[in-house]
Amino acid sequence: MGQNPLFEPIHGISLYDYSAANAKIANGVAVDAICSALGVETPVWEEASQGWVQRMQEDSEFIVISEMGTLFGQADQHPKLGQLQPVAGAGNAQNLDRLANDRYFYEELNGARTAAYEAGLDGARWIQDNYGISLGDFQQVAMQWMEEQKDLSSEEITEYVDYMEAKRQEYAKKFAEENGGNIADDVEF
Amino acid sequence: MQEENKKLSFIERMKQRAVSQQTYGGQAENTEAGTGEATCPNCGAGRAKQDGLTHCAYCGHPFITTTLTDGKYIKKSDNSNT
Amino acid sequence: MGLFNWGQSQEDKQEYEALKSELATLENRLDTFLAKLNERVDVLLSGFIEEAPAVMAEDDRFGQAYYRFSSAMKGQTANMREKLREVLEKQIEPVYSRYSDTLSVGSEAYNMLREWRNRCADKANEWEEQLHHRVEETTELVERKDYEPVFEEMMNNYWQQCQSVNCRQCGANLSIKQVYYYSAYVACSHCQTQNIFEPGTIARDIEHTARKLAEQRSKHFMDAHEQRNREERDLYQQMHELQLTLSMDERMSKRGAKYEQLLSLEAKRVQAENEAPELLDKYYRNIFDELNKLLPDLEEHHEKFFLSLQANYKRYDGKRSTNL
Repeated sequence: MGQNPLFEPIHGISLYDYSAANAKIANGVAVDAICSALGVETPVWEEASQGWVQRMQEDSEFIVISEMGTLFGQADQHPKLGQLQPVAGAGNAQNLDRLANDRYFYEELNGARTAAYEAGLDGARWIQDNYGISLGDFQQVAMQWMEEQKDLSSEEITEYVDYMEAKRQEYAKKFAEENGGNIADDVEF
Repeated sequence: MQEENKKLSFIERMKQRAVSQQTYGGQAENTEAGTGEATCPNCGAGRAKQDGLTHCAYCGHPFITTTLTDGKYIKKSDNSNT
Repeated sequence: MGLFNWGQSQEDKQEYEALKSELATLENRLDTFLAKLNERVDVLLSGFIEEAPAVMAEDDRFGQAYYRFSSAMKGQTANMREKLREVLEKQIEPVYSRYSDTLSVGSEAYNMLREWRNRCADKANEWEEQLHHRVEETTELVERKDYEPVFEEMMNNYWQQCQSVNCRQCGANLSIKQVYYYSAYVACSHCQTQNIFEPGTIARDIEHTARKLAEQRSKHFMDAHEQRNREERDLYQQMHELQLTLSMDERMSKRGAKYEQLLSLEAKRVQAENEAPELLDKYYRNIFDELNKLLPDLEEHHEKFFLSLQANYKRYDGKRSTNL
């Protein structure tokens, strides 16, 4: 990894810095706080960010983006950025803990989020409002589950997919009812 | 006709929901071109081009603790000589 | 004779007619159901077309309200699709399984049942395909935009805003001479003070809009590419149909009028097959040529980006083997 010029830090900002910073920003941490923690000013951070985006676009093998995914999930272990929390607070720690340990709860919120978007709601916002879980935290947990997915049997995977689909339908019904129903609810066979 | 109105109101409801909602992270605000503060937060001195970007030429305060490389607008030569 | 052996007895004939009429009734109900769904699709899509401009006009620069509006529209079509699938599952399939277990394979009644089931499934598939097509068309219509004036206006606004950007230290104009895509240190040419220049949201959106404009300027290559792909598929289909009519002799000797015709179709097909990827290549090359014209300072990155994209779409350059 050290040999590949695609992984050279930009203005001293490594891919781990960049990935963890993005996870934190998605959680509501201000860019200014990221910059101070990394010891840079905004123009340096922005140029490094742009540089990492360009590296990903120029990398036909997708190794940078895949590494970024892994590092994104390790934001909380980052030596400089790990402890940063948004001004609004860390969110609902209990729900976040459940999301990371209870696969069914994770699948339920996944299904709910899809249903929310299909109902014209902002799914990320809905999860934030109802469970106090930010987008960045949600994505970090999603990365963890994806890693664990590798060790699951196909039956287990099907079980979770079906569960998510059932929950999606349940929430779709609820979101539709809240807004006066679907356009074809009264069309019968 | 009544049926038609009922359906039109479905679109109205769909539109209302889309426009009235709070977006995650808030509404994106538009900003114009301008300049931001660039004086030394420690001693208040201005920063001159020849002094480099990373340290205050007067009090030595570090603005940037990383080492700058060659980027699009910022170059290696922008590291201050300390 | 058992109930469903469908012999020649009076009783069997009656039962055959009864099944026929049951199936016809169900098929009629399916037709009516699809027609009613179509009415709702009409209301949904025309309403979407009518209201979308107002949603867009009030939107933020990321178009998030429109995104929600369009997701909701697509969500409604997904809901109708689910309704249709449920009808197939609960109204059509059970009737099929109930009778197919009792009818003897190959009997007239059995064939009628199978054809009925296939017709119903085809109608549902066709409806879904049409819906998909209509949604795509509607979305394209609503989102269609000429990026030429949009890009020009952005550039003009940016340069205009830059005219009033002054040095924090001495107040002289910073005389910005290039597009800054993000914040940057800009030294004042009078007093040499480093300013942190914030280029504003327009400049931050320029690269994205330039990309849209470059795609717009290159679209004719993409259209031609898709056209060649369609031609290739059509020719392949024609060849397939022609091959079915070949006699054993023509097939073995590889001679005769039909065989000649086949070869001529194959020549056209190969040409289309060869031209399609070339046109795709031209499409992407043209996008990046246009981008280099619009944002020349990014040329080095554009070229690397192009090579990376090219490596990826070339991976899927499969060719058919027709083995004539």
